[in-house]
Amino acid sequence: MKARLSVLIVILLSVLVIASTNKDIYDISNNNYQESLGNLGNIPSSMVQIASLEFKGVSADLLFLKTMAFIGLKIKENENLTSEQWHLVYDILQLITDLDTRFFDPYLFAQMMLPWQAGMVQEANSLLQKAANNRPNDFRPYYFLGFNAFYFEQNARKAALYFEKASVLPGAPFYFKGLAARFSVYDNNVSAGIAFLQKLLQQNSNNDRQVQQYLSTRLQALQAIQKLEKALADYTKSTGHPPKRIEDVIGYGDLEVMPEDPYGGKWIILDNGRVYTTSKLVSKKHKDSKQ
Amino acid sequence: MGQWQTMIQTDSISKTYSTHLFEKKIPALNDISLHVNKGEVFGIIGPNGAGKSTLIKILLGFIQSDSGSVTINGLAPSDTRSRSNIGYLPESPCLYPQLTLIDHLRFSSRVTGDPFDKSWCKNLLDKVDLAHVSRKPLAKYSKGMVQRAALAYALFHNPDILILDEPMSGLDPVGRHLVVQLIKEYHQKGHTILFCSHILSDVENICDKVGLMNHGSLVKMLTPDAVSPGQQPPEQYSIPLERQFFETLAEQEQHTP
Amino acid sequence: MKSILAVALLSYKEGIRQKLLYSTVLFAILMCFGAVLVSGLFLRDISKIILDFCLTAVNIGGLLVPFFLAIHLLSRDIERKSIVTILAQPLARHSYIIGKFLGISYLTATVMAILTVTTFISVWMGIALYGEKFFTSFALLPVLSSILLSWLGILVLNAMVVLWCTVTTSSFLATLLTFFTYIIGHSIDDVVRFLSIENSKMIIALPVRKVIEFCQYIFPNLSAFDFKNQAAHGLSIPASEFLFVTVYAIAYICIILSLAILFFRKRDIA
Repeated sequence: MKARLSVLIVILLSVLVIASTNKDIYDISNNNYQESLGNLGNIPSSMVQIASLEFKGVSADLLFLKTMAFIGLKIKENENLTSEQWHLVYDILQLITDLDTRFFDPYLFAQMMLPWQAGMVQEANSLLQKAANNRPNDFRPYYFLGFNAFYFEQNARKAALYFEKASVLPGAPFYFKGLAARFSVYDNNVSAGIAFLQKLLQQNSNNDRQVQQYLSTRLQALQAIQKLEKALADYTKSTGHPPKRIEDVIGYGDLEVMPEDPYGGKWIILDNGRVYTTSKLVSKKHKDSKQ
Repeated sequence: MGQWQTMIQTDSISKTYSTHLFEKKIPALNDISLHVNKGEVFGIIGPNGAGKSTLIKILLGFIQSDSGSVTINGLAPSDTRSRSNIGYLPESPCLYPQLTLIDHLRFSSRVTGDPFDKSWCKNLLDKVDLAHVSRKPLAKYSKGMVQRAALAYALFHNPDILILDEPMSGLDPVGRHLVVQLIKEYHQKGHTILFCSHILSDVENICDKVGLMNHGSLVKMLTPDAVSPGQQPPEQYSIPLERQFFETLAEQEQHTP
Repeated sequence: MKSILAVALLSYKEGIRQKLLYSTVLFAILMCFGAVLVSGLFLRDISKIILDFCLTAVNIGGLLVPFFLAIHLLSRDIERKSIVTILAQPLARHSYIIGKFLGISYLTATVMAILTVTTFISVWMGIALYGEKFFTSFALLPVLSSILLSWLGILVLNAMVVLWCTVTTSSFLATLLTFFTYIIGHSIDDVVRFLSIENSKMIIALPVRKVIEFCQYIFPNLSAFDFKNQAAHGLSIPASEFLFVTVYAIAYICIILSLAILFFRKRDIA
């Protein structure tokens, strides 16, 4: 009887201790969290791969969970990560993607966090390029690369190239093709956009009529811009000054008649001397439906 | 007297053991020669460490002798056919505790290729008084029940030769009586038995010939001829076996340098 | 052949009744729920996460056999002398070795089959919970192929267990040797690849290189049987690779069992 009572008291006391110290234990563990993650980041990737034996996939999963928990903890505590901490996150993401090169979540996480929160666009791009190399049938890495090129690097030519690559991969939204061409316009490289669209129309002649129509309309618009820009260049060369109005370029270059904007807009000359349209290459019907 | 068929024959077999690489070799058997004829019950007695179990292991092919030859019904122990007619009951039976007695008996029939005879099985289980627990795991058996189970396993394929190493070990008087009856019944069918035991009364009761071993050697053969002439029936030992046992050992110790 | 199958069946029955199955089913259920719950913490690759955890569990379940059960069935057989139960019967020693190997292989297959079923239950639960759109990469054939190849890899390890148990009398030493075989088998591939990378800053001592080369040719490359990553991503395993790895496994098993038989033939039992 006495023995049972003693055992019961021991159990109760232990439960009390655990209940009261549970939060403190987690706090102690949290204090060491960055250090443990940092230690992992210092281990060469090849060593981690060897140590993971045949469990590389699940090791990558658990490591990624740990990384997300680390970021989550900082968000919860309203703390911004330091540059050193962001570089640690980048190193860990590299480690994770070395363990499982096809694991998409770390690449997505890198894109969500590194350029936006840490300003680490190049680092995000290096991970995304790795994703593109290892997930050859996934359009998303090229899409993110294209986005970063256009938005963060303001490099339309690069963006066009990436969107071109993305647009031909399975599952890519059909408007990627149009986007690729649009970026080539922004880059003053209309001919590249025209060539790209002509190739697409040739390759996808059996495709959805709606898609074909969409591409044809974009091609028509780009061809019109090309003609107008050629005429504008000819006008400037002949007269020694740029035209005041777009109509002034008729009769120069090969231009005999003002081409129609298939999107229903009016052609304009931008301040940088480029030809553009008031429709912004978006059909009126689509604009109205958006409004 | 008719020609006896030799079932077990050993000619000058010797065996030494060494437990560690740099330790001196221990002689376990030294120049053992014996033969057991068909239908005989041959007993082997001797103190602990005499080499009885070693001899049995050589007969069964578990270990190889360093020299000499062994034949079991004309076959070498290394020939698997020699064991098709042997039933063996080890000193400490180690059947698989998670399996049932029926599992073991079925295994025996699968190996020998004989069909599993249910009526023969039931008959045997009744004789060893284990029919009521034959489908229970052996882990639930008592020591005596395991001993009887091992005997049933040894007898199941109706072997011509039965080798029993301490068959009474762990048995209560009822169990011992049961086993003695089984052995006698088996002997009456004309089968051959090699019987090792420390219980000299059992050896005296069952065996036709007795070999006394000590320090790896077959010291003396004790047979019904070793009686005081004219005083006792020839089937019995007139000088009690126990007395012969101790006298022979003492004599051997005296002559050992 | 009948004696080999008799020994195999006896070993299988003995292993099954070690309550291994009950603990495996419990482990499988825990894994099933755990994988589905944990996968919800991730972003997009839900299918891959569930399959990673489940295929790992299938593997670990299979590995329980060589590391715990096989040692028990073999080494303890000799230690406790229950081996005489088998060897007193008219069967050759090679029948014992091959029969034991087949018995523990069937045990491995049973455990892995149970865990395979729970893998598919986990995937079904994941689809029900998170939606089919996260499981577009799931493909049945790669998962089954990967499990089959994992099983073959564990068979090679089972053969090594049989060899170590015939070489040494100690069950502890046999366990240790099996463990080292497993570690070397799974890391040798990465180590060799690591050494092959030209790096002028890194100097590896010649004896170390030679030891690694030796290990490469002596120990089986167990990582060749690891296709879990491909299966998790729904990538099909080429038939030629499947066949090549299978032939590699069979060849290694034949060599290892032959060595085990050679060692065991002349060994003194009990």
